[in-house]
Amino acid sequence: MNKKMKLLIVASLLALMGTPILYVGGKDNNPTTMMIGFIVFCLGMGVVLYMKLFAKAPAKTPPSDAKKTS
Amino acid sequence: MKTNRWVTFATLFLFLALPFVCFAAPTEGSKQLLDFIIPVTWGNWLAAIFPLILLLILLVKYRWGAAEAGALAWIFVALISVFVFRTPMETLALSTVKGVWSAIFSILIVVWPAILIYAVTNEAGAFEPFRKGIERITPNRLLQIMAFSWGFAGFLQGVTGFGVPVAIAAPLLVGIGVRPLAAVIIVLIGHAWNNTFGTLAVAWLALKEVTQIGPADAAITAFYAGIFIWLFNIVAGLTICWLYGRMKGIREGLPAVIIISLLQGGGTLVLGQWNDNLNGFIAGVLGFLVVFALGRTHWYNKPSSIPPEESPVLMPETDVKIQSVSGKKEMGFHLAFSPYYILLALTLGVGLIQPLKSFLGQWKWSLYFPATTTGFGFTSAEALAYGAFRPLSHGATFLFLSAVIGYIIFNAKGYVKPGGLGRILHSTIEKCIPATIAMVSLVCLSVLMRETGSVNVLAYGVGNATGDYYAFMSPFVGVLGAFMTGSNTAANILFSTFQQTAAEVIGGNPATLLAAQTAGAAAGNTIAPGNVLLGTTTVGILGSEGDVLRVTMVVALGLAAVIGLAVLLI
Repeated sequence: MNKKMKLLIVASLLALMGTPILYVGGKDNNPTTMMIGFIVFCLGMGVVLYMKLFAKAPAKTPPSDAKKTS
Repeated sequence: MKTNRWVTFATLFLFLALPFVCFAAPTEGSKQLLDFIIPVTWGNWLAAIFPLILLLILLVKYRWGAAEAGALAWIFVALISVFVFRTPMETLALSTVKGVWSAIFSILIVVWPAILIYAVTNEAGAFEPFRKGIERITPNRLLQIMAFSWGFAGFLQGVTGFGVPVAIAAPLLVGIGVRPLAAVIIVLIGHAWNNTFGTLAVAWLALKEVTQIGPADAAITAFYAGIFIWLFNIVAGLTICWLYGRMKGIREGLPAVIIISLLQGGGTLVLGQWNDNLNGFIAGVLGFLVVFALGRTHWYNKPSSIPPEESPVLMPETDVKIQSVSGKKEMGFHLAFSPYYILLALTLGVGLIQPLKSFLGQWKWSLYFPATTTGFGFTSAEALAYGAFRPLSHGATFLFLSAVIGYIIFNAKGYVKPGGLGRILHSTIEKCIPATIAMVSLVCLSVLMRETGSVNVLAYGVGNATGDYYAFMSPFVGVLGAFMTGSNTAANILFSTFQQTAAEVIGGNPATLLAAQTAGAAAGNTIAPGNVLLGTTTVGILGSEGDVLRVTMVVALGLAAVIGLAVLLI
C-alpha cells in the first residue's frame, strides 16, 4: 500500500470519526463537542488538500484515453 | 507543479478575500420577482455560486480529482454558510452529519459492492467470454455499445436507480473493449433519460406530491415531460453514435437510434398517460429487448463499417486482450454473466413484487435530526428518520449478494486462481478508499448548501434576473438541482414548488415548467459529481472526473437550452 493510499485512509477515518462527535454536539447544541467534531472532520479534509497542494506528486502519465474521447 | 502553485496562490487569495465579499454582500434586495426568506441579492447569489464555480474550475480546468476539489469547495461552502447565510454552528454540524450519512447510505453503499462485483468478474476472467457472447448477438461494435450504455443501462434505471446503472454498465463496457473514460461518459448519457419515470417513477411521484397537482394537470405535465424526455433520449442515442464514429457513427447508428428511441422515448410519452409506476420499467425493457432484434437486421448483422482502430472510444485490441485471463478453460457467456443474472433476478423479484418489497422494507436504518434554523430564518424541518436505508430491499444489498454468489459460482467452477479472494478484496479496497473521501466531501457540500438555503438563493436569483424569460431558464434550474443533489427525485422535491410559483408569477404554463424541471434534472444527472465519481471509480480512472464533465456538461447544458427554448415557445 503506497503512501497516498495510507493518507487517504487516514483522511477517511478522520472524517468518519468526526461525524458522530458532530452529531452528538449538534443534537445537544454543545459548542465544545461540535468544535472537537469540526476539528477532526476538517483535519480529514485538510489531509486530502495537503496531499494535492503540498505533497510531492509522483510522476504521472495522464489517462491514455483522456483526449481522444473529448 | 507550476499549475499547482498558481492554484495554491489563487486559493489563498480567495480565502483572504472571502470576508470582504461576505461583508460586502448586501442584505436588502431590490425589486424581486419571487419573494424568498433570504434576500436574493447579487452578493448573496455570487456567494452561493462561488463554491460551485470553484469546484467546476478545479475539476475541468485544472483536472483535480473530485476528492481534492470537493474538500476545498466544502471548506468554502462552510465559510460562506457561516458568514453570508448566517448559519449557526449547530446547523453546520448537523448538515455535515447529514451529508456524511447520505454519502454513505445513498451512494457509497452502491459504489462499494459495484466495485466488488467488477473485481469478482475480472478475477474470474469473465469479461472475455462475455464479450464473445455479445459478439454472437451482434458483431457490430456500435450496436454492442448502444445495447449496454443505452438499452441495458436505461433498463436498469427503470428497475433500480441509485446509480446502479452507471456502476454496472460502465465496467461492462470496459469489459467489451471500450476505453474507461468513454465508458463512463457514454453510460452517464445513455441511462439518464429514464431518471424521471425510472425506479418505479419515484422522481415523478415526488414532483406530483410536492406540487399537489390534480390528475388533469398531471396528465398534461406528463405529456410535456414525455416529449422532453424523448428529445433527451434521441440526443443520448445520437451522442453515443457521434462519440463512436463522429458523422459516420451517426449515419450507421441512425436506424437503431430511431427504433430504440421510438420504444424508449415514445414509450415513455404514451405510458405516461397510463401508468406512473411501470412507465420507466416497460419503456426500459422494450428498449433493451429490441436491441436483440436489431442485431439480426441487415444493418447490424455484420461488423461496423468503422474499423475499431478508427473509433476514439475503443481500446486497441492488444489492451483488451490484457484484460482477459489466458490459460483457463473457456467460460460460457451465461456463466460469465451469472452475477448480473442474479442481480437482475433479485432486483426484479423484490422490486416488482410489492408485498415482498414492503415486507423486506420494514427494516431500516435512519437518524433523527432536530429542526435547524439559520440567522435568516431558513428552516430545515425536523427529520424523524433521515435518509432511511432499507438494507433488505436496497439495490446495494442485491449487488453485494450478486458479487458473493458470483464469486462462489466462479470459484466452484475453478475460474478463480489461488489467492483470488485476496486480490479481489485488495483491488476493491484500493478503489473504495479514494471514492469514500471524495463522495463525503461532495455530498456534504451539497447538503450544506441545501440546508442553508443557498441553493434556493441560486434558483430564485435566476428567476429574478430573467423575469418573463424565466421559462427558458427553467430546465437549468432542474439541472442545478440534480447537479447539487445527484438525484432527479431530490431535485424535484427541492425546486418543483419554485417552478410552479415562477410559472404563476410570469403567467406561464406550470405544466411546461414542471416538465422542464424534471427533464432538466434528468439531464443534470449526467453531470452530478456523485454519478460521475461512481463511474470513474468503478472503471478505475478516479481523478478523471473533469475529463468526463467536459463532455457531459456540453450535452446536459445544450439539452437544457433546447428544452428551455421549447418551453419559451410553447
